[in-house]
Amino acid sequence: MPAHGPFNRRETPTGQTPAVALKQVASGEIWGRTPKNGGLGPTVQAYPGLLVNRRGIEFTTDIEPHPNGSPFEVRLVSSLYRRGPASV
Amino acid sequence: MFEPDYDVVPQAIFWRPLRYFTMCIREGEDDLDLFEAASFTIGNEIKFDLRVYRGHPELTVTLYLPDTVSDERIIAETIDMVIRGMVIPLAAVAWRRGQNFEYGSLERPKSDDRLREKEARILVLKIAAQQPGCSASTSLLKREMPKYIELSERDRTRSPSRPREFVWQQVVGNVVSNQKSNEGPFVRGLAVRTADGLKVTKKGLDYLSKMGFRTSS
Repeated sequence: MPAHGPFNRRETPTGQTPAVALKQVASGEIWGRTPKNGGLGPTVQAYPGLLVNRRGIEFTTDIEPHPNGSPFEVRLVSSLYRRGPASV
Repeated sequence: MFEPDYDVVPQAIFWRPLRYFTMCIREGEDDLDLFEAASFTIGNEIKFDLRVYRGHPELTVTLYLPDTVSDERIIAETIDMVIRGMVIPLAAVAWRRGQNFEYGSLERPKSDDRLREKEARILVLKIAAQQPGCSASTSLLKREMPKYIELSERDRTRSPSRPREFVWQQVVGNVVSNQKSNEGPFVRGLAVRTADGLKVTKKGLDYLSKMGFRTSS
């Protein structure tokens, strides 16, 4: 069982689009962007908890959230993300 | 105010909405979500953002520093500087880097949680500065105040001395009616009394600019 989550990403016009969500569900992967300064490496940003009456994706992961998150934001830094049951 | 070209990391959360801090709000989208934000610099060196994302609780704002700032001491000093510079009440600090937290869980404390006259003195200036002629009646100030601060249970209790008003309304009324308070906006020259409220002076506008609420004119 994945140890962390559930987390969610809300649907957006250009980033977390419905087409991207379909790819994420099909692949079981979420890809993050490398910060502009190189930084920590590819980082996935998400909200904690489930989507409530919103469109987007929900996921869980084995990756421990990076400590530079906040009570309202989760940051996952790794090259590999595995996801448990998700809904789109 | 500027549009940052770097990534940011959340470092503190305040129990106040973005409009509490600035008149200059922009919209954006990044890897997390859509957001509203304002960007600031202190002394041309310290840069920070105040942002609220769609998924954040209403009437909160998060302080972000560039992700290149990772030294804990510098982060703590910068948070302190922002709190002082923007005159944020300590009771409004919901969380700051270094404090433990649970994802999705942040309870607003009830003990210190109310509008005090010190904060109301600044808020009336902020509200009036956005009105035509930088002038606002007391009734307008009372009408607008709940948009700038989430009023607590204590704020919403009936005033013992003015039963027709809530405590918070009395606090706002006191700021406008008490013209002789040394800490009030009138004695400090930040506002002048009008027939039905107050008008922000040039000195008052400069004061708001200094704390980042408005751009200098």
